[in-house]
Amino acid sequence: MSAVENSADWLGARLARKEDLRLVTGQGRYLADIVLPGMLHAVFVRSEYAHARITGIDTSEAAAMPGVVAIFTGADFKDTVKPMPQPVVKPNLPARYPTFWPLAIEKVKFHGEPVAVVIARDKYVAEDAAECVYVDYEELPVVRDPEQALAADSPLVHEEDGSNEIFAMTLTGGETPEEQAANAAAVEEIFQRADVVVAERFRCHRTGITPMEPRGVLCDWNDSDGLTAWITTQRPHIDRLALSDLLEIPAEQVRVVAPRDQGGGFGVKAPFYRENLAIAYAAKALRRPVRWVESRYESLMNVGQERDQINDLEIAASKDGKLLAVRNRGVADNGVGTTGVYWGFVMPFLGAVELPNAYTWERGDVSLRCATTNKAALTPSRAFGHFPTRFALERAIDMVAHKLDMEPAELRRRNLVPSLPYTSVTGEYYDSGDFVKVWDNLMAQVDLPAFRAEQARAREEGRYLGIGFACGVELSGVASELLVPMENQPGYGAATVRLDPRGKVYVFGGDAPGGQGHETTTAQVVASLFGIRPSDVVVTTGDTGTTPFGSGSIGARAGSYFVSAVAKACAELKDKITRILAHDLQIEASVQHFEFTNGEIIYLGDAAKRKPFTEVVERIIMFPINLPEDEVGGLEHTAFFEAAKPMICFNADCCIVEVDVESGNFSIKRWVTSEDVGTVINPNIVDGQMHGAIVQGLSNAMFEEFVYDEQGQQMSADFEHYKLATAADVPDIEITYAPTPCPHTPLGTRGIGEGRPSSVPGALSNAVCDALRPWGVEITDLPLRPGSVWQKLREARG
Amino acid sequence: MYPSVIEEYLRPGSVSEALAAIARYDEGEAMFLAGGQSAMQAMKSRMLRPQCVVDLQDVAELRGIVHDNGALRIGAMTRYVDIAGETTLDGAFGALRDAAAHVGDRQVRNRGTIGGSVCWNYVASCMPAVVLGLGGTLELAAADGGTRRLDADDFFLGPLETARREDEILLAVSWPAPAARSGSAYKKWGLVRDALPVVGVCITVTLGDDGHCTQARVALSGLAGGCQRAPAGEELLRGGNGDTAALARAMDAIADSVETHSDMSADADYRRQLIRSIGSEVAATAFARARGG
Repeated sequence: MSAVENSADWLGARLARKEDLRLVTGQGRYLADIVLPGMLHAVFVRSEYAHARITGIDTSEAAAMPGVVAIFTGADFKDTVKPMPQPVVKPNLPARYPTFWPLAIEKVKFHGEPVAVVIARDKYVAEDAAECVYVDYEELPVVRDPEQALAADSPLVHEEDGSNEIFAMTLTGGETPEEQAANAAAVEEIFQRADVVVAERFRCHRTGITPMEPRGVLCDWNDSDGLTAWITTQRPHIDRLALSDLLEIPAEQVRVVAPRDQGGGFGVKAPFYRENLAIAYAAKALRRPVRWVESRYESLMNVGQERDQINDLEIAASKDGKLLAVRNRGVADNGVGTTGVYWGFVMPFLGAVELPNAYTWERGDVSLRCATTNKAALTPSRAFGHFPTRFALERAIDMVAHKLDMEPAELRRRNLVPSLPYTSVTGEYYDSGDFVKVWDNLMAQVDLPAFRAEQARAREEGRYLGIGFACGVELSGVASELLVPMENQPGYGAATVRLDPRGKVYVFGGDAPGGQGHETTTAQVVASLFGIRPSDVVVTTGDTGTTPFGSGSIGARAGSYFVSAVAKACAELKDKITRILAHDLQIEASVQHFEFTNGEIIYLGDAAKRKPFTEVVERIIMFPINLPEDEVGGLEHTAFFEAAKPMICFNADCCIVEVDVESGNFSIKRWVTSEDVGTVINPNIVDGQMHGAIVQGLSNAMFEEFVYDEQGQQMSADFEHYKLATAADVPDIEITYAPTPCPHTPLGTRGIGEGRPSSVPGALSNAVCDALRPWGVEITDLPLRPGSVWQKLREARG
Repeated sequence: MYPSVIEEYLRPGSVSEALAAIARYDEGEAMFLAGGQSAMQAMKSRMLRPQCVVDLQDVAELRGIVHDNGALRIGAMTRYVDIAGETTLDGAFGALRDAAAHVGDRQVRNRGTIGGSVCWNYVASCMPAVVLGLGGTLELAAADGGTRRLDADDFFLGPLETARREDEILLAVSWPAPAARSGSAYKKWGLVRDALPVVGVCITVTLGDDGHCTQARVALSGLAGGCQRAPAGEELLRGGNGDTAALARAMDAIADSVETHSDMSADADYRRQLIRSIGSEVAATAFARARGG
């Protein structure tokens, strides 16, 4: 399986993933595979209207059906469950947080909102009964458009808030209105004197992520242990605190388990959801296990919807190609916002923070308004918040280049932040790396002059080729400095490393992955540090009963924070092991005088002094006699890791397309990338992250779209209408690396993959516009589809 | 997404058993299940609520592709994968393979059947338009022993509607031996590869000795009205020799004559453009196949 000889080389080895055998042979165990004796099944009755007052709910017929155990409606929760928001799932950002319960009370605010929940002996009976729960509605005017929602005369989604503006912020120019006004004036002054100004409205549609496994929850209650909840979740520890606080169950009586195997999260499984609360309540009330497994239809109606933003973006530049100032007025269609932790607006907030990207602006003026509408809440989706802002910025930079008659690639390179660390005009800290090196590596893969010659020849033949570029600064983990204000949670990583007398290693982590390969990467880190084999390492994640606190598998925390905590814990244990070994060998030595390799611990001063790793470990755990003074036996350590400042990774994309100017069809001929991912633990896994992210970006940009009609009805809640890319729809992807090890992590690793899709729509649409330069077509709206290209060409041709 | 109560599931081994089973139920209570690639979804979403499902997968006599002196008969339970892999379906019957090879994905093609598709007659599907564009005959049998043969033109009545009665079973789709120098082709367009058609075009042509078109049939899929002929284009194709400009004129005529709609996949204007661009390509292929190329 592997050609690794020296066990230190596990770090960087292209190993097959430990988890793959069970996953591809049907032996994975997902939430829906867990069955408890006496388990009941839940089905939610969901609103058929986008906005309506509930005038009555008749559950009598359904309740009388054989096999139906209970039916709960909003009224059952009003006085028994605390309403949201509660502090544990509420960011430290000033916003109008709507009050809500697990089920709708008084009125429904989007098509698909849970109104009642039927608990029955099986799913068939539950669905039969759900059809017989009769809800009377009185329709209300639907709030659909975010800009109209912000108008003074708009109907209100959350009437008690008095406004549909759930969140607004100016991210630039200081804390006080005076400072911000001074900054805005300074930016305006730059625009006044600039040689070139581009001002454009960019729209990004509602799209996001559809994990292969939808959501689910199984709750079990007994009076001695309290509540055990298996949840498809990226953040079991937060879910645990939230369940405890909201249901007022003492914290020690709540345990949350994220199943080891989860079919993807990508952000969708990061919020605290009202459905989980309803099921936990039902299990406690009925004293029976209750399970809810979301259907695809429900999933597409309720979660994975993101990106929905309008950005009025302006760039000022000088005629010699210096980017001077950026000004953006963003409006996000927040949806209803009734989702714990994120509330819809946390994504656009970060999207605004990340707008300036890798360029050196003299000044910026960036602000954002988020409007509640009668749609599902925005939920986190990989490239959290900044898919739209990055599309807008990267597109606008090409438009500046067109005005300057300059190569867009050259304009970018001239304006890349030349050296790090650097703080962006929105205050985002870029810790380390080398943007120019990454860029130059990309350009080395793409012979731009040769492409331009080929493009000219092709045009003579009536074929239209185009090249597009974009780049992206992405978070490598989310530091406390950002995560405490943004989500009211700590950023540090935590890991417990436990050794057993047979020399096997058990790693416990509180974040709950969804298929990213944590078992393999973590095992490689441990194996390289202890000089053992990855097969000797067992990784357990997601059980709050056994793992240290972690804020969740979010924001590329594994390669940044989690493995760093693992490395730190291993270092502590190596320290102890070598202290005792030196004592046993009767030498004066400490950890740096030993090498851990190929299952042995070798004294570097005399290679004859060596012991099997397993023997030393067993001695310390099982035979703790004749120890050095002040030592005790046992080998287990929990370490916490947090870098002093936030960390980043960086990438750049190049896309080459051919456009059929008659039909608007376009095909991607090449997709080339350059990545700074820091030290690579497993290239297979890193390549896979990049492939998956780029495919998600392309699928979002070209195919996927959540559509609501005039009445706020969701029209895209199945895969016939919500189109996902298949393997046949995406190009070969050429991934190349130009890494700089991160100086702030023990292994030089960076967290990767979370933000990676964000540069995709810019590179793609820039390539299409480049192909259509003879007509001056400038794309400003997503999705980018053959029909929209054809329409743009038709307009350009008159 | 769980179906409503299904009282009885039957899996007959012959057509007569299948017809007897369905006859035991009143109209609307029982249904045949072919490959299940549409019907299972419709049951799970409770759009269909049969009390009895008569599963035809064990009825061997409904399967198979038979050539008889140039005539062709395809059993209703013949799967897409079998049609797509049948190399004898070329020339005049080339459209069948064009379509079957790109229905859904591999899993769908391994279970979905031609009979299931034409009886369901969904607007965004390929087989109804292909059977219509190839001028097939639908062979139906009823429990009382009666049989009917319907022209495709009389079989497809509109979205999700056909002339088949619920107590009738579709036995096969058949064609007489095609005239010499006949060719057909089909192509669809969707946002993603092998998606349901936003627009699909099927064209059959027969050429005379001089290479000019003597017979032409054009059928479209993906339109709100369901699969339909395009007489305006057929007329313009007849008499032509298949040169690019003539094909483009014919497709323009079709695009201008049919009613297109706007939805989230394409607006009405772009649907017309797709008819033009796909149609020209399909017509060129049909002419080439007719010429034996």
